[in-house]
Amino acid sequence: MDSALSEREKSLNKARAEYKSYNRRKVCFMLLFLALILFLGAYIVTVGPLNLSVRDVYKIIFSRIFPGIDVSGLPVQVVWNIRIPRIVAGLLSGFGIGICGCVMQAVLKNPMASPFTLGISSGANFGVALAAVLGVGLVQSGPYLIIGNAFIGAMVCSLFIIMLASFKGASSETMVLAGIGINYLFGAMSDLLRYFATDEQLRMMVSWGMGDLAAFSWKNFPIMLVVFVVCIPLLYLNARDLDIMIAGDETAKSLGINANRVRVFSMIVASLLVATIVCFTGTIGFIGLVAPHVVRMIIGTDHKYLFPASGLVGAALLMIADFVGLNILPATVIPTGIMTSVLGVPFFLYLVVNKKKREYW
Amino acid sequence: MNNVIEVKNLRFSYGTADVLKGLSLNIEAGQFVSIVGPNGSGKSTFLKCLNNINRYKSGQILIEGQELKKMKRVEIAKKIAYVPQGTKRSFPTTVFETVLMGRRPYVGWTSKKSDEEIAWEMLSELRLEDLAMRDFDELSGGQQQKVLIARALAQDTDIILLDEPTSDLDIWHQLDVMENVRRLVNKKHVTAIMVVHDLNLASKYSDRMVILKDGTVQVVGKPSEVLNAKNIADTYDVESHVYEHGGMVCVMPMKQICTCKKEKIQ
Repeated sequence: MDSALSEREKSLNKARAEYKSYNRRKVCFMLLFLALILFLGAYIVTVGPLNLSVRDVYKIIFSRIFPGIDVSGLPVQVVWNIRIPRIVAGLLSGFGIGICGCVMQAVLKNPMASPFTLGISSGANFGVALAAVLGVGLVQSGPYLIIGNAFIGAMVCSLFIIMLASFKGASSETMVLAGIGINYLFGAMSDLLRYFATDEQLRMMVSWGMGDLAAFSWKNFPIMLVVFVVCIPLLYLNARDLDIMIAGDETAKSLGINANRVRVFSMIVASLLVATIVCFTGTIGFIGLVAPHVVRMIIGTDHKYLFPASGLVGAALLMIADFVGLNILPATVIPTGIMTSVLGVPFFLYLVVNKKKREYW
Repeated sequence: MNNVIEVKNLRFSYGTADVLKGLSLNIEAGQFVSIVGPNGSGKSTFLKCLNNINRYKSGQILIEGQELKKMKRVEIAKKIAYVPQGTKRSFPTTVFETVLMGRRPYVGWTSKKSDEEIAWEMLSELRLEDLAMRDFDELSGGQQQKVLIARALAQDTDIILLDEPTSDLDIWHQLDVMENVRRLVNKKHVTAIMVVHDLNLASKYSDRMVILKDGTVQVVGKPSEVLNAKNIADTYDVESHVYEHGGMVCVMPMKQICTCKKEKIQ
């Protein structure tokens, strides 16, 4: 009896130790990606068509902090107004889209969900088409015509889907189905506008649709920051419930969670976040699907860790893809959206085919 | 009488299909109650009404004297745990994380050390410590059921609902699950309410049996009072041989009374 008891004591302690090291691994994974992002940022800022030495670049950056350093002219413009905004855009967009992918996959209980499942991209595309072809928009002039329309299109489309699904109790199945249906509807309406568009208008729509971080500038930064600071904590507060949501609505309800409310709330906040990102950068979709999967394969499903780690991996992937797109061909920039898919899909498929253990799709 | 659950004239329907048609039942604290009855009699629906997964429209459910309808989900979750039939998840979760979910009604944003301690304790209560870091989906049906029971225990409630915990299990695991539930009822004085198809398992382990038919209670009582050839014929349209073996009432189904049994169209 005593020996049997101590035997169980032993295996219990072993399991506890395993759990501890499992959690430690998760933290290490996040620190690793944080370091990778810092390194990427520090490196990418020194590379570009204008030949600047590493020393010069950092002199310019430090001149902002220590006003005594003397710099001026074109290099300052390039580093401060072109390179750094682009890096910040990659970092923020990748982080936001990665997180929204993680949240949407959890509340929809669907490994195929991504921020664009709920019509963000088709809605935004329609908004842009409306601006390009008919010149219709809430903001009537300048660059904000496109940005404003993309944002409004994305929000209208996703709120429509969420409302439609809420009529039927907001289950994950109705939401995915409503999303697919509405996606087709908005896609068709965009196609209709495209059909009547002139060449000039078409080019505007196409180049926006490919996704480009260059469109982001310091002017947009405050808006982005405000949305991030509001949305991300709101989503993270629900992270613990997401763990239970994936076990099914009945389980969630029996553990005291109002599953439908969490789902609708998360969807609205995530849509707002993605719509804000997308209207500045165009549709960079793939990150939102792939980042949470990469993280889940490595550190598991605990959303306390999965949530921030998805953001970090999303940011790193987007920064790498954008860097390659900028530099792979001389004197040509490949749009970010194309590059993320070209680089990301083979990587993703490699993981899917090679996964050893976790079977869930 | 110390009734932990009182159900009065409960009605529930899915859309236009009435499932529960004025069901009344009292359940005493600290008992192991089995709910049996034909397919479609409303057993699982009733179970889900008891913790408000199904929101009932009319009638009354009192949990320890409190009206269920007026309680918040979190309050209900502190009184009633629910063990669903083994569910397939969309994403992998470890066994320990699954058990830790049971602490959700008590924790704020993240679990404290004391919650983790309770989860470990329940894991070892059901002798699952070796499986702690395995993925829930990788386990066999019997193991999954035990993990879900451990989670229900971590929830620290007076009442545990179990929805066909033994379906899909081989006889060893059927006994294993039932022994565990019985032990917990005896040791922790929880009230266990179980929906089950196997009349003999129900007879062997439960203190009381409830036979449901067409959304109402047909018979309630001790297994020895409830299980007889007449009740089984009335409920299931099956002729049976009911006998005693080692102090336990056993049912051997013999033949269908009417082979052309009309499937009800509602």
